Amino acid sequence: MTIFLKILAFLLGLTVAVQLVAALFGIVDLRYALARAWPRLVRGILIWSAATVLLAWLLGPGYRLSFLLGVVLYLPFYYVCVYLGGKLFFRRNLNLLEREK
Amino acid sequence: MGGEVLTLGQVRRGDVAVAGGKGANLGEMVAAGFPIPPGFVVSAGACAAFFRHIELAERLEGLSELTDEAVKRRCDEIRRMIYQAEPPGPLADDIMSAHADLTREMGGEPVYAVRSSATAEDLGEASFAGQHETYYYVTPDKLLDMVKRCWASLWSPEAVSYRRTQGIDHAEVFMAVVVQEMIRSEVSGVTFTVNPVSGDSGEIVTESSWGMGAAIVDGRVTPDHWVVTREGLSLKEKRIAEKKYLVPARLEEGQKTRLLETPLDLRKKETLTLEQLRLVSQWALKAEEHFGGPQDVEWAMAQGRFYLLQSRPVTIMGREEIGRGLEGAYVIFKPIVENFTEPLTPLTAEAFQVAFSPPLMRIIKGWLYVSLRHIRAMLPFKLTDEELAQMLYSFDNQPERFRVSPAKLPFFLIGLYLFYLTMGVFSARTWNIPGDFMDGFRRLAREVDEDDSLGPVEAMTKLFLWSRFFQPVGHQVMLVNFTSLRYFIWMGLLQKFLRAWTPDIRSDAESLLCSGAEGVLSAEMGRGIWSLAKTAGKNPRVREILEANKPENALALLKAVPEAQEFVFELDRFLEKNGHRGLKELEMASPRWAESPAPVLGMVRNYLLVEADPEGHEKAVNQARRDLEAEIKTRLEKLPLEKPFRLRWRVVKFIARQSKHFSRMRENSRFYHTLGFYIIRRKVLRIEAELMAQGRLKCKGDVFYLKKKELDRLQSGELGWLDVEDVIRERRMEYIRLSKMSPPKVLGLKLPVKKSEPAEDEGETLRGQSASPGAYQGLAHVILDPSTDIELKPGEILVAPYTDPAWTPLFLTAGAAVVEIGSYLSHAGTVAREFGMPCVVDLPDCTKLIHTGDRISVDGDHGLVRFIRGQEGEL
Repeated sequence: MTIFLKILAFLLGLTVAVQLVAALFGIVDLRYALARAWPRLVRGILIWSAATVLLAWLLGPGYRLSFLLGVVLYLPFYYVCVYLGGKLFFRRNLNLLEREK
Repeated sequence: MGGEVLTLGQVRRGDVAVAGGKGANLGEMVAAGFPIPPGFVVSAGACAAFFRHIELAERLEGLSELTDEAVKRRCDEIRRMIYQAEPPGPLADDIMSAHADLTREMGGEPVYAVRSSATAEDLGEASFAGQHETYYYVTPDKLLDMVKRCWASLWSPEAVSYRRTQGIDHAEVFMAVVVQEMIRSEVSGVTFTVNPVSGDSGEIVTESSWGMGAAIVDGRVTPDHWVVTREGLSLKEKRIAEKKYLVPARLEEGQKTRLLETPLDLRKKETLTLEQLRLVSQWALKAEEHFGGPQDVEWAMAQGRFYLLQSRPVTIMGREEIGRGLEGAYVIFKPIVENFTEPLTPLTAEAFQVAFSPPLMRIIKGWLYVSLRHIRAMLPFKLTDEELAQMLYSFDNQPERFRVSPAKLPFFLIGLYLFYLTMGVFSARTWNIPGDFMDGFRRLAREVDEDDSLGPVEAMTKLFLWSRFFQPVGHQVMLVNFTSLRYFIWMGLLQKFLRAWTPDIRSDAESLLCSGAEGVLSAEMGRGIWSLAKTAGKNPRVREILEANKPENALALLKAVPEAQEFVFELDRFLEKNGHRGLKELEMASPRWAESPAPVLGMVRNYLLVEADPEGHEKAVNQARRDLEAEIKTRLEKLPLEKPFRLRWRVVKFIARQSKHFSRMRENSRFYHTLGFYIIRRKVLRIEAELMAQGRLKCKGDVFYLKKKELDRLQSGELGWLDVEDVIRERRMEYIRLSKMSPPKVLGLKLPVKKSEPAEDEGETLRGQSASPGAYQGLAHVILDPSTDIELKPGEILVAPYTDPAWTPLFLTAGAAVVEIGSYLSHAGTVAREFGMPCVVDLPDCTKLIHTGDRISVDGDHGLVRFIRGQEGEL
């Protein structure tokens, strides 16, 4: 049961990290309009950072590590899966074209 | 005349082995009294003698066992050998003596058309493998060279590969060559004695254009299209096209390309009189009678005389041929195909193929299809192929009950969670983001455009793929477009809540509530055109020029008039922002407004002619929305606990706001990805210009009929014009054949015929798909091209093959819209809902079934169009 709950805590960490990473990407996305959009940006980062800390605290020492592992491991997962994966996908499609007679 | 060179009069139908199919056919027609241009045939025996003379047999040893690369090298070697060798003396003398006889017969110095003529029936298919060279404008000093080039066409790698797969002995294949006087035609065309698309034998179809016929045959111009009845030869259909290009009868000194721009006054002029059309049809019927089957006849007219150039059996390419031999079942991908009435050109198709994922999505004959097998694997439901195809084709065709597959459900849930982990960040990044977040894409596009080191593929990577990890989300317009699909979820929710809480509210309540979003770039573009029309309307000189001249001529006139400078300046500013738009803008081959602003001027002229008032219309829609909001609020107040908390109203407002946000995101991301396509088009056009300057391409637009690999090889010098000429011609021909048919909805399975509700007047009812609710009755106006046919009177019903932003001004004056293809999500549906007019889409052939002047009623709630007979033309 503990293992199962630890897995759930890990998945919860991944899920929260999606929103946290998105909020942090706001720095890049809203850079063009910082003067007017900074409250939205700061609010997003604060809310999701606070949510992460709060959840880590609420989960207690038994599941905290699993949860934080989920949060921390999400970024490399995202980089490899989406960014590098996208590049590989494009390369594969180009190769398919090259191989076509 | 020598034994290996024969006049056309000496050849008959049975002489295929000597004169080739084309030569034998022409000889037969000469004997039967058809007006064939004079000429002679260099027989297949002459070709055999030449091959013996150059000892070709030695080079053919082991040819069939070589690798593809080695075959290519060997073919290059053989062709070079043929080009360099002189024909044996007597043969050369015979050919030149035939030329001398022809010169005497015709008087003056003739110019020839030199055509290869394959000798074996089983080589018929090989014409697709590059074995049918035709050379025009051949002067006597080039005659022998061109005959050799026809012989050399037997040794293209494609032709060798074809013979290898068919088991044909390379040493036994020879080519006859037909040399004919080239008719310097004023008008030329093709006539089919049976409709080549529908197979209707009661119709004779003619396509005609100015100048030489090559422009039509190679598919480089849109010709005038005529249909006459077989019985009585009465005119049934006439479509006068804008013939932008022609192949002139004479090449000027130093002229590199065969294709020239047609003089402006001829572009929209009818190429044939009714009398000429009947003459052409009569000769085509005579050819049919002579050969005993439907014929496809090439003809020309010069100095008042009619010439028949070629007659061959009609090839009817049915829709059933598309996807033949394909494994699996596919359904057309409507969100993309709704933008096209025509298939994608090969280069654009490859660009799509790179962006989408085969085998989930495949381009088949230029149309984008989705594999049912792959989609089924992703869904947790038990669905038959038919149910799945119906569901994917139209969201209206949902199965009555979804049966969940317990075995697939866990995999589906895991897949859904993985999808959230990968796409969730994008979704969250675009949630509640300011409306102008994609504006930076314009700067990125300019940088990519100006960077000469980037080719089309690199440009595509930069513009459409995630090229840097820390790239603003506004630069990833394709992904934004994908995430904006949430619009449909919010719209679905809005519909559910509204219908539950206010059951009898007006049928277009959801779309009206979501209308009026600020910052929608395509709507701003529409306002920009209206603003241009206002500026033009204030200036009598500008107004006069626009109203009295065709849009193509108007710009030059406006630029020359000092009073028009304010208008011209505003037009330039408009094009700076919107110049990447145009008709069929997902097709790279389509010209854009920046290159040819005539469609914009056409729309301005349309506003001036119909005296529409878009601002008034916008105000009316805003007022209608406010009234609707007040009505919903009043009705909700009657529900328990609504008055103190207004919870339901807040829910409705929130959902409508989200729908607007994602709808704007969808429209704007489309605006920007068409800008991306435009940049890629510019890169391709620069390559085309270079290749044309080097003589490796001859005609504008041909580049889009090549594939990336061929383009790379042309650029590197591995291939030349002669290597790609036939490929381009064949692809253009196939493109034309495909353009004339609507794509099959499904491949690899049969769908049951649409269920139809019984109706008293079913025979007079056309059934499509509802895209915007409401009902309207009025006169139909069929418009095929908004750049040439723009005069829609207020209140008329627009009947169109498809629509895109260039059509938007017509919606202002239309009372309703009926469109051949599309869906609820298509441009026609979106704009019609925005303008509060009924719209029916997905009505195949409606532009043929409905005629301008028919009185029809459009039922946008049920997707029905009814003819109201006996009242045509009355208002």
